[in-house]
Amino acid sequence: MKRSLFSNPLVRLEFLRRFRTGGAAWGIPLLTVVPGLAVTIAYAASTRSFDAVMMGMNGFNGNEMQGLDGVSVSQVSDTGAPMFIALVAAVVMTLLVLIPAVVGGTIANERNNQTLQPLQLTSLTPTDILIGKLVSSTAYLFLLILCLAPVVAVPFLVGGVSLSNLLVVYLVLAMICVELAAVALAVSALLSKPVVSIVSSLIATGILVIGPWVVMGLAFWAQAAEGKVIAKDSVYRLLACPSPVALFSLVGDVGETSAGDFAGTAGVVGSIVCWGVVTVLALIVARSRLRAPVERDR
Amino acid sequence: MTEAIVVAGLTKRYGLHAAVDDLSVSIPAGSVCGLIGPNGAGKSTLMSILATLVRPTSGTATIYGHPTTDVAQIRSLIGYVPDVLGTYSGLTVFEYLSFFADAYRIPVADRPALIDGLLELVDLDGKRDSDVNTLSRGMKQRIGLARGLVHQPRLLILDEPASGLDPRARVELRDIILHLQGLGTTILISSHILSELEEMCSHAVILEQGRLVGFEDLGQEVDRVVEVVFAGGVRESFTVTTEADQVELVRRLVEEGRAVLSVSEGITGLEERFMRLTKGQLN
Repeated sequence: MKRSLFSNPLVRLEFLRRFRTGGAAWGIPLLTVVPGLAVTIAYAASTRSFDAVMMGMNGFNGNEMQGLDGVSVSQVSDTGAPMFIALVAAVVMTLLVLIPAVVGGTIANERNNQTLQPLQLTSLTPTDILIGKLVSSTAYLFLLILCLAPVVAVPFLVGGVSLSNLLVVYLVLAMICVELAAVALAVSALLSKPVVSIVSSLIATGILVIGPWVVMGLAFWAQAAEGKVIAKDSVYRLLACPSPVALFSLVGDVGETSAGDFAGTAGVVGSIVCWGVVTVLALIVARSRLRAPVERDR
Repeated sequence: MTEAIVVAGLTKRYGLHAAVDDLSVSIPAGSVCGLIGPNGAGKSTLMSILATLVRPTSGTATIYGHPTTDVAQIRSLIGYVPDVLGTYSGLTVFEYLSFFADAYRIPVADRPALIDGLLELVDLDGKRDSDVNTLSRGMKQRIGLARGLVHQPRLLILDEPASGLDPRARVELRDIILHLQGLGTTILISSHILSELEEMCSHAVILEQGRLVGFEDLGQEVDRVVEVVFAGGVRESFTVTTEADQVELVRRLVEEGRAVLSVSEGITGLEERFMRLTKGQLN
């Protein structure tokens, strides 16, 4: 008999432990302060460059901005776009460290504390245990991302960032959380020492995020060495699809910037497919390791 | 009496090493059966096979007629208590047991009464709201016992439950086990402390090098050696079977005019049998 998500005792247990012991609290400032700093720096940089342009103009008048030496209203209102891009980049970099730290030791901890065997002997199936771990950890990560809302509101209010940009970025961040949590769970299920598991999760995350871009860069370099030009629709660009960061191709244009678009529509489709494949494979590996040996042999 | 556990030709190999080697034994329902053997005799491996944690290389094991390959059924029938209780930080004793009751699909409404009953059984009703991590080893062992009983299993498997316990905790553990036997639970227990096992076990399985070297019905009268100390420090050993035999021996010696100072058992019956049956060889 299958359990529903809400009747999974591990989800409730993990929530209870995480939020009672106060371990959850340190994630909130970490994921708020770092991106907050990034927004502040991006804001300072963009206003300084704007001021420089303004200072260089004679007889500047706000009412005459339109058409003045290339400085347009849209430039003023686009200040939010670089802030938003800096914010998202800082959030992603923080998550790349936070997710392995939060999820990387969960199953290894169960094994190390000798609580995994008693769990395996209950009516909980390996899938129940896996879902309990995945849901409880990703729900915490989602909560952290939600806590970012006041920081995210700044570039949105400054201008240049649409509501759809915001929503899609939140969706992509959630997808990244699920994928990297699944990978960290798989690593955690394979190893028995929590610290080793967390460090290995960090390394696996790094390889998954950066590796595809390195491979794509090498392919570009090889092509360039032969004197070939890499077109926008080149199949070599799809080599970056397995990286979770490639999911930002879903975001489209932010202001006048198309930061996430690396391979057009093919890149969008490829990154979603790769996200699904990596997540499912990681969960299959984790589930196989959560089965008791007697079930695994069968 | 029906059989709780039937093991036939059971073998578990790790590479060339046989942890359990062609083992066949039947353990009656309602018994307290001690699993005895030197280190490496295969006790924990046998318990892990019965607990569906390890798959045997060959042979079969059934619990109340169900093969251990029927994992879901077996897990509902057994309670397994390892030698170390794994706990979660930040949980009270009640929450810890409630989590396992939930994991065994015990209805929410039944849990408080069930857990209170279990805590009373293991004499920890005063620790209901204590942090499970702050309990002493003896208390944790009793919580482990309560956890193993949360789904009311018919067979309780206890792997070295007395290890690391102080004398008082050991006595309390023995009393709980005897109480559970009175409730009809079959108990398979491994321990190195043979005198303690003798006090609570009705049967004993003696293993060495993964093989069965003895299956003892401890309720049966068997010959045992008593040592008599006479005046002047002279010691003599005699073999008796029953307590009445021992009384008769002392009466006869006194009638013969011999000055008996004391009578003592050199080693207990189970210890004597264990020493006689095993050679102390490591697997």
